[in-house]
Amino acid sequence: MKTGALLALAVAAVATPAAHAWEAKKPIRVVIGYGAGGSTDAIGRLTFKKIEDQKGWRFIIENKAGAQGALAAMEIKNAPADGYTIGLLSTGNFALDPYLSKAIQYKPEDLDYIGTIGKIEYALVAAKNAPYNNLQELAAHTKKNGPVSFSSTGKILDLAMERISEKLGITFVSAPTSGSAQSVQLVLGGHANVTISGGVHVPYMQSGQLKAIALMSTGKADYAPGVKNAVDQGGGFVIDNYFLLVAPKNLPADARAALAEAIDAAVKSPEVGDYAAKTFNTRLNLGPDGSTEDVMAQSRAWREWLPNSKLAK
Amino acid sequence: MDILANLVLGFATAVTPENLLYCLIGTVIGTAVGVLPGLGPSTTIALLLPFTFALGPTPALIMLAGIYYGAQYGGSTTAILLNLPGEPSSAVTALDGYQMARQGRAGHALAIAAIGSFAAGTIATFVIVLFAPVLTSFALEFGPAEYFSLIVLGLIFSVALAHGSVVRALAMVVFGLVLSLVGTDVTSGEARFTFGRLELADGINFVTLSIGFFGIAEILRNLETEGRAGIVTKVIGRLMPSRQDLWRCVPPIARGTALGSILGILPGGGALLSSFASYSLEKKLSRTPGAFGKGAIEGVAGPEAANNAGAQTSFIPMLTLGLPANAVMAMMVGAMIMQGIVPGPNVATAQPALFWGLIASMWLGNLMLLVLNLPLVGLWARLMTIPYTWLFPAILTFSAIGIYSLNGNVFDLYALCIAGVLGYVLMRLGCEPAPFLLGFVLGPMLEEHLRRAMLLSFGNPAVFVTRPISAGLLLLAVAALVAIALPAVAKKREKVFVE
Amino acid sequence: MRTTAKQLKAGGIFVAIGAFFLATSLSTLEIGSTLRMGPGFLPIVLALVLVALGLGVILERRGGEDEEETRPVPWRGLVFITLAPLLFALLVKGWGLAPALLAMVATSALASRMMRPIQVMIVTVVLTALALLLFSYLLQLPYPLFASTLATMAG
Repeated sequence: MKTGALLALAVAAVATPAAHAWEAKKPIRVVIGYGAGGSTDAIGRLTFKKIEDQKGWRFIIENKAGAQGALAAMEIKNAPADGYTIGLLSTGNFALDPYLSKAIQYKPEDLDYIGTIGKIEYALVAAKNAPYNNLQELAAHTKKNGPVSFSSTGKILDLAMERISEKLGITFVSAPTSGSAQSVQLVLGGHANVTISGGVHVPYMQSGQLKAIALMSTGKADYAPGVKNAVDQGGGFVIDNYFLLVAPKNLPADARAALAEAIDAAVKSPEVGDYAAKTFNTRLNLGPDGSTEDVMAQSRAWREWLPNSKLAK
Repeated sequence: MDILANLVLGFATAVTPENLLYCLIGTVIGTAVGVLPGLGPSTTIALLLPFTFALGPTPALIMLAGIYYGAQYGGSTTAILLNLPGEPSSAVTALDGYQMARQGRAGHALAIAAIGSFAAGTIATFVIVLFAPVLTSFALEFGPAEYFSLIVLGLIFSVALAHGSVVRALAMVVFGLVLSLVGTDVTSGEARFTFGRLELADGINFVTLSIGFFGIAEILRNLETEGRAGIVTKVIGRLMPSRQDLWRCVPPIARGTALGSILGILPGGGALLSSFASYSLEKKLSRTPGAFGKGAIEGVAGPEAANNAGAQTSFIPMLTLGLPANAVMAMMVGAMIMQGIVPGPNVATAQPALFWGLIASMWLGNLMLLVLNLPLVGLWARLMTIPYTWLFPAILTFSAIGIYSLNGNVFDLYALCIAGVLGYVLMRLGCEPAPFLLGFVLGPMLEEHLRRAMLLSFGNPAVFVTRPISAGLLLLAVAALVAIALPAVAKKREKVFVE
Repeated sequence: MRTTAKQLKAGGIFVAIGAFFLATSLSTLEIGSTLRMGPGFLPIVLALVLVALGLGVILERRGGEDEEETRPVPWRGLVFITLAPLLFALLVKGWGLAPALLAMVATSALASRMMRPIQVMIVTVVLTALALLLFSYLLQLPYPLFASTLATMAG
């Protein structure tokens, strides 16, 4: 029977012993949890293009935006753990989101983590003429004039803003937007007072329309030399969010090692470095163990914090 | 003069053989893809994105832009010939375009769509060249309150897309709004009306509903009279519109272009709003509003012009604010970023050749579309002579694969069947699909801007009337509602009196 | 000056849909405040408006403008047209694109009373070939022609 033969073939393909390093024998499906053209999509496509050049593997990239990445995460969780399906999302999708909504039916330990492409560098920005230049002045301003409006691109940013605000006595009302470009536009047009942005704001700072109140991550920001990060300003918190590569749980060790190695080589390439620099993010691969530890550590930290959060209910 | 220098630089960039070639490739691929329902330009651009890496930034963007407006053009073709609008704006074109095709005037409809688009594209190019900096600051003036009021105005306008009962059209608008809320609430992240189905988390697909309500419902409608009357006329008639017809279309095209140029600058659905604002306007100004929806050529010319002008000017917020008007443009932003160009206030000064070259190439691309498609009009019109019994399995098959290819999800096919039957039932009951679809498209934006406006004003609803632009738009909406309702009331009184 | 059956049906559909969404929203979604509108705020408002408009459709005085529908319902078409995409949906994952397409085209061709069996066969073969050429070969959509799971299903 024809189907029987096919079955035999399939079994043979799977059973071929891994005498040497794992190689992709068919195209690898990549599910990106954000829309095409977003920052994650762009840096992801660049990285996978690089792996194609370096290893000769083929990738089929699919964008599955929706439910803020949860749909993509679910899809990867349920895919076969054979190395032929991987996903690209960000740390917050696994460390924070599963604990914010009962609709999200996965936990961070349901997946394997195989590395990161870079760290997203955030800053709290306001219009150039805003009557505050740092977090202290912002706190004083809201104590006197009432809350500021905050356009927010994601839950992790809301919670970050909440944490520094609790500490410093800032009051704010958060309005979610569909993307960082939109958040920045609301601040530019005077419709919102402040926003946290991961790169989109930089050209506007260079053109003199925006200024940074505080850096929201620990990296350097060459475009804003005099601005301190939120911890140094007494806010007590900065955001750690990475472009994170994930795979279904219990990936075979050889496939996991080969994928991790291919990703690491691509992330180290000058192209990815240039691109990260251009978008003002830091190229950084934590590797499989490092990124797993990071997700788990962040998830523990968030779970401890969440009872204090009013935004998380 | 600066402007002249910019134009010269733009055209010098756009007419290099390489850029011309990619412009041509883009428009041809775009047209081909646009003709296939469901398989939208976003799929194509996603497939081609890696390929554009090998090209320089300017040819890459020129090609992607070509795919974008080529696809819009192709989408109108399918809407006119087969009543299959793959994009919201072509739903407006389908209204009168398809009726014209059924009357044997497919050639006229296609030709006027091409001519109107080209005229609008030409004027919009000059609008961009002259006013680009002003336009950017205008776009910034629009905050959530202004968008909300604009959308309310658009929803009131959309009632004019139906003929017959105003109440039914309003009910269809609200039905569309309600259905658009299915899926994950973007503000709270909570699932609404999904009944635990993950496939519904992203909401219902526009193309699925559009093909169901327009395409499938139309097939069923045609099967009603099968074997008793010729379903599609076999007469092709004259291909090109008469001089008189062309003349009649000049004012609608001019008005459509003006509407499109202004509204296109607003990334929150501006270009889309312009096409049906134009339709409503033409219907209102027409001496024979009853002809609209039954094959009025102005109902094709105006909206097509508005749509194309809007598509052109929507490049302004994309380039200068990084705010894409739709999924296709979002990918173009991605392509720009991949090429190392971050959209922002400095694009026009930092990358003048790219900026002005792209704008000049849009005009050239529109010219190519006109030259390529006018000869094709005859061929397309001939499609109408294929017996319907042979045609409809093809319509259904291509629609279904197109829809399946959107997400690779069979759930969308179930939704297609439900939408088709529901659309057919409603059509039989005198409830037309166009207002429904526009409500569906605008619903999420309406809610998003309403909630955002309320948050940013710290809960004070007065924001909608204290901000001047918003107040003006709402006033216009009230006036439009009164204007729509009055003739209906008057007519009813008359009827009562007669009885 | 009476409510026609058409008005009653159309209005009834809107009232039913509105009521359904209203009930679901009230039981599952938070309304919130005017500052922080909950996910239920707009659905509840819109569902109420839809119910009201549905009643409006029923009560509207149309003064004989509405002709009653005289065209027959194409039951055969209705059945086959809805069945065709469903068959495709059922077959495409397990069996692959080619068999799913074949089933869909054949079923949809049967929707017409005017098609003779030989015509159905011609349409099926020609259209399936065309669609495969276009989607699989030219556009390279990533769906296998024949699913490998055919094997696992048999096994």
